[in-house]
Amino acid sequence: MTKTPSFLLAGALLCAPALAQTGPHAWPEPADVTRTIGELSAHEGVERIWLGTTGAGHDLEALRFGPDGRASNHPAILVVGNVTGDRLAGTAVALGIAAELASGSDAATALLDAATVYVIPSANPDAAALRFATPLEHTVETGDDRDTDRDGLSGEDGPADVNGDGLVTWMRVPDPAGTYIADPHDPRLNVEADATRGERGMWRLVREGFDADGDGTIAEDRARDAQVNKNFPAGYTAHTAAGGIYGGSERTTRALMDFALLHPELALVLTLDAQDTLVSTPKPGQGSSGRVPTGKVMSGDAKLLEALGRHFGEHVENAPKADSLVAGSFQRWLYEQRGVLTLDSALWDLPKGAPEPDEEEAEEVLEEASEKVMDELAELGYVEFEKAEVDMLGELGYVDDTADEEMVVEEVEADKPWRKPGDAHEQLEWVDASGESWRFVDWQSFDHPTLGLVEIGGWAPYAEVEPPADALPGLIEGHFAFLASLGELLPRVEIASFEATHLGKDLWRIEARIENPALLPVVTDAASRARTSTRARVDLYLPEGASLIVGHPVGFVNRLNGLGRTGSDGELEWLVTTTDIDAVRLGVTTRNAGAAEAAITRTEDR
Amino acid sequence: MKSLLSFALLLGGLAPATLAVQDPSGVMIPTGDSNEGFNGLGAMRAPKVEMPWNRLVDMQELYARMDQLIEAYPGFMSYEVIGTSVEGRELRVYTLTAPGELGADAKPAMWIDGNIHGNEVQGGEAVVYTAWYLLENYKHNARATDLLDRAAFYLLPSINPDGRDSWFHEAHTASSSRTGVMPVDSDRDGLFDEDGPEDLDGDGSITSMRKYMPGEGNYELDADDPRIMVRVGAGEVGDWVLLGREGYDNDGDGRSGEDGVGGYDMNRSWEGTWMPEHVQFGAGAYPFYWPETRAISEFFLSHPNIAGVQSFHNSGGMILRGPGAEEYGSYPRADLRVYDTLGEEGEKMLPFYRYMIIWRDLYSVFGGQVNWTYEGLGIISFTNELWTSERMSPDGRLGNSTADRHWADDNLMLGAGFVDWHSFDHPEYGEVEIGGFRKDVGRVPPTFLIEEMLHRNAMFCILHAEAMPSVEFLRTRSSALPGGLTAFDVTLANPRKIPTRTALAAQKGIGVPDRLTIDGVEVLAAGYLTDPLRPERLQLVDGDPASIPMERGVPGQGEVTVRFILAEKGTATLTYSGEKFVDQTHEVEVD
Repeated sequence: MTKTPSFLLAGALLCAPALAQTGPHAWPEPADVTRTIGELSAHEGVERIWLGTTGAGHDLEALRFGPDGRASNHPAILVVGNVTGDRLAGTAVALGIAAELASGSDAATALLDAATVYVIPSANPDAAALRFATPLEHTVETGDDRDTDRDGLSGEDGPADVNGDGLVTWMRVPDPAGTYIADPHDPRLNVEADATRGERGMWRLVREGFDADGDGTIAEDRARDAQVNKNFPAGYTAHTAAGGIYGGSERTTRALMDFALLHPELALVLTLDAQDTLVSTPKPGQGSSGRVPTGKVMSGDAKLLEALGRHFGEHVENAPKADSLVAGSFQRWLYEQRGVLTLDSALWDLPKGAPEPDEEEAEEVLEEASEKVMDELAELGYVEFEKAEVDMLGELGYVDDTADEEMVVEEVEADKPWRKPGDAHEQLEWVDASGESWRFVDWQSFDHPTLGLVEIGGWAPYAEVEPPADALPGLIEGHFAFLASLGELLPRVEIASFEATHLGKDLWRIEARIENPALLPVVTDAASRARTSTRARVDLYLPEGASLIVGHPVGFVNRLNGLGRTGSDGELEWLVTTTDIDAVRLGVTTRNAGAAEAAITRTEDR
Repeated sequence: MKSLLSFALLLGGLAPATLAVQDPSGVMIPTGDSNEGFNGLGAMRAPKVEMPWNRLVDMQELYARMDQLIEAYPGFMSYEVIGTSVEGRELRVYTLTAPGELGADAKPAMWIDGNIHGNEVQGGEAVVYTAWYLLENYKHNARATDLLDRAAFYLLPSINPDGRDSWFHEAHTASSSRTGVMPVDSDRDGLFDEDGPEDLDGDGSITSMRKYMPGEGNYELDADDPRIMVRVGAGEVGDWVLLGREGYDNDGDGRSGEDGVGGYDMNRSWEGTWMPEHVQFGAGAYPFYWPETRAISEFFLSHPNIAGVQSFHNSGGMILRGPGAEEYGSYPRADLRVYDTLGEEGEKMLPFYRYMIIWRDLYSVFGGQVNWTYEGLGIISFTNELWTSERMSPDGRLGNSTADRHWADDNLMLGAGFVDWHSFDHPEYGEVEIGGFRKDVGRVPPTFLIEEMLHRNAMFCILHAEAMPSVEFLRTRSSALPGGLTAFDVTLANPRKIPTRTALAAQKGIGVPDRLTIDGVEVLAAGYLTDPLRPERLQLVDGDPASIPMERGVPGQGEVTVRFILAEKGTATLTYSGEKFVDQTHEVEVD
């Protein structure tokens, strides 16, 4: 067991009033996020930043951590929670990280020495707010409404809670033309019938809803369609419902982009959302080095991500794999068009298979189970069994209420060896074993007003993306530790040498070498391609009366690759006449790797 | 009607100054002696509002001209400020339509703008000219009258008022001030707009610098005309070098004029094959990044009645259509027919102009304005590049060589367009010479050719506007079906060139489909009657048969027939509604 970090107390408090509808979670509502941001910003060295108003009128806010008055080109890391909108755990982890950053702990102080950290805990508050709606529907669509079914009406027939259980789930609609049957491994799951093996579909699987517009199709034209994290103009596809009316048409999208544009000092972005560049590090694909970005990571950047992914693995266990550089996403826009490496963590996905309990725990469970069975039997008026007898009954299979099902499954397996249990089957096993029964709604018959008898049930809203509440402390701790480890990797500019050699009379040859001793480059491959303004500017300051014979007072270093890569071009030289060589100074400034100044040193006269 | 006509003719000789005949539609047509209506016939005509069409003017005067029209023609035109430019100048969209029961929103509208590139100024005048010409001819010309009655115009004289005013009031070349004025770090040195060109000699123009370097140069002066620089051949040495535009190195980086005001291209920032800045210069950080373009995009999205788009640029004599980029693929064939018809007519109206495809015949443009208005919004859209130097010598006796350009300037403008080379002591290069053609030579016409350019382009806009869709109930027909049912066939026609729904709009599901509704009779089924001789092939529609969404609308210069199968006879009220035409209602007895 890891020690619970102190900041979690704050996190738990802020989450307390916001009990979600289904799971045992306590996710922060938009108002909680706003309040917590307010509270944290009261700490020294914490600043509250307003990014804009979302389409639904929520405030989009960030926190800045770092000493006041620090130069704006000090390297910075941006932490972003829940861009997609259904990843409230991302917000909870981001707030946990923010609380730790405000705590003044040694780890926080060390990180904030190296980097300014911005945190946008809830990047998509409009979608996050829908997590607390009644009825509850798993929703990431919050933006521009489209007439999806082209009937001239918009949003007239969206998903709905038909059976009044407070949840929008799924419907099995009996239909001879349907393609689904029950999964023989677990009849709660749906699988497509394989006609080539003699199976016949029995139902259609549709979103729970009415046919509100009477066109014979269920829930085909929802009230809102555009998704924030498909609306960024990177790999954007026009004329899709999810993408919105044009790239960047959503207010949230633009506010997030504007924030990134205002902060060229961002050297890294850590997203706590639905994508992953840290577990399954993206590989540079064909065309990744072309002029037009294609959704592939460039080869030099891929090596850096691989290294950062190894760091991540040291701090965060069991992080799931997920897609990266998804079309239309903030993550892809940041990387391809701002040239910022995005470190994406998908936080959690549904585990597969029942966890194997350790022996001690297993005994406890058995003990409890035996007692429970005895109590039940007693309640039913049976004679009181000795505990040993109950155990024996268990061994014989009498009190194992899953025995019948297992038998059926075995038969199926014998009958249809070609049909293997799928991921969902193993995920349900985990749900059953973990006691998180809210995640799956058992199918219930319901007399649908237009469809007749249907079954309603299936995966509950958010069941597949929300970690159990007890996973949160570990997620916060691991991700904070990873974040803290990034400080020393950030690019920083240094003047390795700045020397003058006397050539005769008042003539001096001046040479300078600029370096970046960190792992990460000042300019990533993607930034180099996107020509974002991140190259280092070198200013030579001459005393009065001095003349520049060769060179310019302003120069640039295009590549300062750091340790992660070779091939920097940080060497510059000038010829100067002056009678006061000791007064010559050099300044180097960058947009995301700080600045450096140096006084000149003399070499031996030639 | 006939007796009224002869009466008017009779009186015509008695009161020549004010009389006109009335045509059957109520339009007053001036008689031979009347000078009302400035209709393109020159004899004794005088417009109500005299405007000098031989000048190009700044924002203030451009708007003042529009305001003058508002005042002279009450009820026809108004404007709204849809946003402001970077420097706070108003972006005024003028709405022009004849007063009446229907507001502009209920009519198909033609959008016309100019001057998205600040230096391409004459588009602004072309917008004003179009409004002026239509107003002057309303009630004097049947086509102008019909157009303003059934359609509206949204007119934005300049998309880039900052760039326009800078071009007029500050020193520039013919090509500078193309950008807007939001500061951009063009040379990526951390400073913004710190090193633009300078009017070193203070003559109001940015021209060129040359330096005499005997035996070290790569240019010679033309033997006949020392104003002309001639590049020496390979292996030869000249006595002159060209040093580029007037200016010096303000920021100490060894380069001159590399980071001037702005430094972007508002015609690359629109959705529709938008590409990031490093792929497409000037695009901005995301679509509609520049505030002027954002304001316009919002206007378009809130005005789905816009059914035609014309954008005016300079120069080169082109009628351009998309795609801007080869990557887009091609446009649907049905829409290409509309484009080709208008484009080819336009070529005849605009001598020396060529109807061209942007990416194929000019160059690739990602994120172009008219690409968005068609590819994103499904509106037939053109860009005209106003002015081509061939107009200086239409019969081709003068070519486009520098010597010929000097000849034209010397003889047709008494040398007004050229700043003769003169000596200047440059802080970096020492003694140089400064000189060259002024900013208003090359991309804008000389005064005496401005009006022709404006008129021909305005006529092209009117041609396009007249092509915007209108719908009529062409005929209805009923016939008996077995079982006491009635087949009721309704034929809709669109006599204009542009369909009520472009093929692209239908294909991509842009906007709202048209809708045909029938009230007053019970409808049991409905479908499209594609072959009147084979009614059993009716293409049945799903959903409510009395209210049919019609994604493909009514084709241009075509018809569509819908058959309703009715349970009963009676009085039917038919309504056809849509975004880009005047909705029509028709009451008919089904018997």
